Order: sequence, then structure tokens, then C-alpha cells
Amino acid sequence: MTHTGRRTFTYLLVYGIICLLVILAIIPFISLVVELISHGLESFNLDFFTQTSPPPTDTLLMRNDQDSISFGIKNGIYGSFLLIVIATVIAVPIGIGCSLYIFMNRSNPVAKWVNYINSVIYGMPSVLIGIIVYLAIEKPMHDLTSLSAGIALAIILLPFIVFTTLKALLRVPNELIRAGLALGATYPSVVWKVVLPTIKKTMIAGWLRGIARVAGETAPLIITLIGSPAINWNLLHSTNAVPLLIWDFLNKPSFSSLVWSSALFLFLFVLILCTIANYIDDEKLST
Amino acid sequence: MAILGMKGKVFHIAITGSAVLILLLAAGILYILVSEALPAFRHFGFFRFIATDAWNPSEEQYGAFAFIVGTFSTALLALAISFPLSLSVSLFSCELCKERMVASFLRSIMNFLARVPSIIYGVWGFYFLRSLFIQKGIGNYGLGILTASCVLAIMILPYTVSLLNAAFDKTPFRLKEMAYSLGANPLDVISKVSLPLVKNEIIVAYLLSLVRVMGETIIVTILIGNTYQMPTGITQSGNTMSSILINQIGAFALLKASSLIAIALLLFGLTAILNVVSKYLLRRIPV
Repeated sequence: MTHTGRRTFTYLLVYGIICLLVILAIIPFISLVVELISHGLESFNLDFFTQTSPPPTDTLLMRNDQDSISFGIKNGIYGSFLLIVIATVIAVPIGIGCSLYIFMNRSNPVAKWVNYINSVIYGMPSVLIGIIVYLAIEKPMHDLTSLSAGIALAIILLPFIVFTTLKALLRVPNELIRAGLALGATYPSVVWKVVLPTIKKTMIAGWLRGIARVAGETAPLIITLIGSPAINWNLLHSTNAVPLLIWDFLNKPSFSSLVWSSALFLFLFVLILCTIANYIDDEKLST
Repeated sequence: MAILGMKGKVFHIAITGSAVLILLLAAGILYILVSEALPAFRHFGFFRFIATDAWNPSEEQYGAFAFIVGTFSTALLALAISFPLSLSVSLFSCELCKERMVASFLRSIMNFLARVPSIIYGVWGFYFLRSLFIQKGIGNYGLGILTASCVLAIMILPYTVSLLNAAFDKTPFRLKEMAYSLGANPLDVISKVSLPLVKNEIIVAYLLSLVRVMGETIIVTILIGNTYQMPTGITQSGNTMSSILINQIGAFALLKASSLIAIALLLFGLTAILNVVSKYLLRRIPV
């Protein structure tokens, strides 16, 4: 075989192996989606959205007559909504402020440190954030509240918001900022009236992606909440959340169809959020 | 300062305040973890705590070694499983089939799957993969380090792929064109141009994946089997540093609680070090 022939042969061989591995890599995800849809649709009905989850004492009852009582995850959906609102209210303003600080003091070593520390918090396992919130807020107060769980989610959301906003800020053309300054505007007002409106779309998309990330967080919620079967709007009471319900149902053998439906619900929720985010601001451009 | 006016001052204070808040948050996290972990480290000694594999609440004997081994074995096994898959998916969509529909489709699917909450992978692993493992007779009722690693490998794959994709996107097109014009085939371009150029980014992609796998809690807690002995093989059940935190969170006796927080601190230190190393390797901090 000639030299060129051998090279082409190796290339085709590697190409074939890579294609094979790609197919191998996709199989589990196809299985995941198929299983989610086939099992999840079973109890994906109106009751699923309008009924609350079974209280712990009903577990034995369920095993006897599974079909006569219908359960849903209404309390989980409401609770997740509440937690996401708390997390957003806390994390988004601080996150935007912090990224503006890093952006405006780029030459300052303090800003570099803030950015560094932000990335360390970003990479922190979420279970640790749950433990810290438990130790710092809930243990002294002797109570597991939705407010503290929301704070835990806010700590997870915060570095994400800083990260995405900063990335968007750094893509703002320098000419735009200089043009504003040349017109006699102060730096803060250029940031407020020129820079922030320019990156508005990216910020909203980042926020949606952050929510998608926070909505599925389970580990910190297991630590900071006791799942309550009722809907609680009081921030100082416990509440429930969809991922927390999935975790609870997993420990009870008779609830498998509810597990699948809740997982499907979460999957669809994240899918919708990501689709909207990609529609608002294409990810390919932002990376 | 005077030139900024009242609004400017408020703006300045707000953004500096939020940056200070992030620093305070990090300091608070460190303070809480260290102060709560100190009793355990004092009682057992730092190195003895790390190196003993005992978890005996009745004898007040605690050590982290079994869980450190559990964390490293699950994380490294998961990365080993996903390494060839993620690299080939990324090479396929970024280098080999770049301009084709398949590639961009694969990219957007992977970007979305990276955002799917890990509990959904956990549910799939618990009901689908576990029953598969039970049929094959692997593990303890299908649970164990191997099961957890397989699901972790699947969960981490889209995340690694999107990091790798971002890395490969940075390779300048012109350089590759030059190589092609000299008669190189795609394999030569990958091995001699693309891979050497983004070597560091690839290492960082796997480091960050390692951080995420190490911190992943829910999948591991569902699938590893949660036993406190030292695992003797990869099909054995065990516990990791993150899953023990979830398992033991209810029982907060003094020394035991402190030992748990000590494990949390170790986990935090490990992920923080890996994060800093990856930042150092990139040295392309967006500031």
C-alpha cells in the first residue's frame, strides 16, 4: 500500500470508529426520552396538575387500591414556582450588579478576585450550598422554611447570572461605549442607557437558563425542606418542589408512575425554557 | 466622584455592594464549613480523619477514607466511560461533519441535554438501567458503584461535549485550510492542528466535568447502594462524599455532625482546587 493509501485507510478507520462511538453515545439518551414519554404519559392527566401529592400516611393505603385515589403534584408545582421567584428576586439584581462591577473595574485586581471567587462558587456542588444554608439559617432558627430553601437556590443561581451577564457585557462593542462617553454621558449612565439595553436579550435568556438549572436542583432542597403536602404561600413555612417530590416518590415503590410523570414534567419544563432562551438569544453566538 | 452626581453615586454603591456581597458569601461559606468541621478534625486529627475508613456511630468513630475512595472511584470510572464517547461526539460535530445538518442538530441536542436536571437521569437509571443490571446479575440488587458511574457518565456526556465544542470552535479556520491545502486529510488536521491548539481547553473540559461528577449527589445517592463499608470492587455498593451528606443529614449528633461537615469541607476544598487549576490552565479569564 502506498503512503497516501495507508493514510487514507487510517483516516477512514478512525472516521468509522468515531461514527460508531457517536451512535453508542446517543443510544442512552434515546432510551431516556422513550422511557420518559412511554411511562410518563401514564398519569400525565388533569389530576396530575390539580391534585396534591399523597401525605406520608397514605402510602400503605395506596398499595391496596392504586387506582381509586388520584394524586398529583400541584403542591410541588406551586412550591417550585415560589422557590424560583425567591431565588430570582435575590439573585438577579445582585448578579447583574456584581457583573457590572467586574466589567467596570476590569483593570482592578479586586474585580479579578471577585470573578475568581464567583467561579469557585459556580463550581461548588449544590449539596454543599444546601448544607451551608441549613447551618447558617435553619439550624439557628430551628425551622425548615421555603425562604431559606429559596436563598439556597439563589446562591446557586447567583454565580450563573454573574457569569452569563459578564459574558454578554464583554461582547458589547467598545465603540458603542466610547460613542456614549463622547456625547458627554457619564460612565454609569452609558452603562445604564446604552450597555444594559444592548445586552437585554442575552440577560433574559441567561435568566431563563438559570431558572432551568435551579428548577431541577434536588440535593439542596432535600436538606433545606421537609416536603409538605399542602400548598403554602407563607415564606416562613415549609413547602414542596417538583424535584423533591420525585425524590420522595422514588423511595415508595408504588408511586413509580408519578415519578415518571413528574420527571417528564420537569423535562418538558426545562425543554420549553431552553427553547425560549435559544429563540431570544442564540446560544451559538453567546459562547 | 462629584462628577457622577447623585444617581451615579447610588449606582456605584449598588454595584460595589453586590460585589462585596459575593465576597462576603464566599467568606461566610468558608467560615461556616471550617468552624463546624473543626471539632471533628480536632478530635480525630486531620490526616487520621482522612485516612481511616470507619463510620461507627455507636463507637463514635468516624473517618472519611471510604467515602473519598467512593468519590474518586465513581467519578474517575464515569469519566473513563464517557471520555471516548464525548470526544468522538465533539470531534464528529465540530471537525468531521462541521457543515452538515447532523452536526448542528447534534450540537443543539447536546446543549439542551446538558441542562436536563440530574434527577431525571437518576430516575432513568433507577428504573431502566438498574433492572437491566439486575437481569445481568451485576451489583447489589443492581445498585453499586458501577451503576452509579454508568448513569454519571451519561449525565456528564452532554456537558463535556458542549465544553469541548466551545474549545474546538476556537481553532482558527485559516490554519486548518492551510493544512488541507498541503494535502492533509481531516484526521491529520485533527491530530496535528486542532488537538494541539486546544490541548489546555480539552484538559479543562475534563477537569470541570470531573468537578461536576464529584459533586453530583442525587444520581449517586439513588444508585450507589449507600453502605458505609469500604467498597472492595466496582460492582459493590458504597457511598461518596456527597451522598453521605444526604444520607446522614437527619441525624445531627454533635461529633457525627461535625464529621459530616468535615467531609463537606473536604469536598469543597477538592472542587475549589480543581476549579482554580482549570482557571489557571485557561488563563483566559474574561476580565
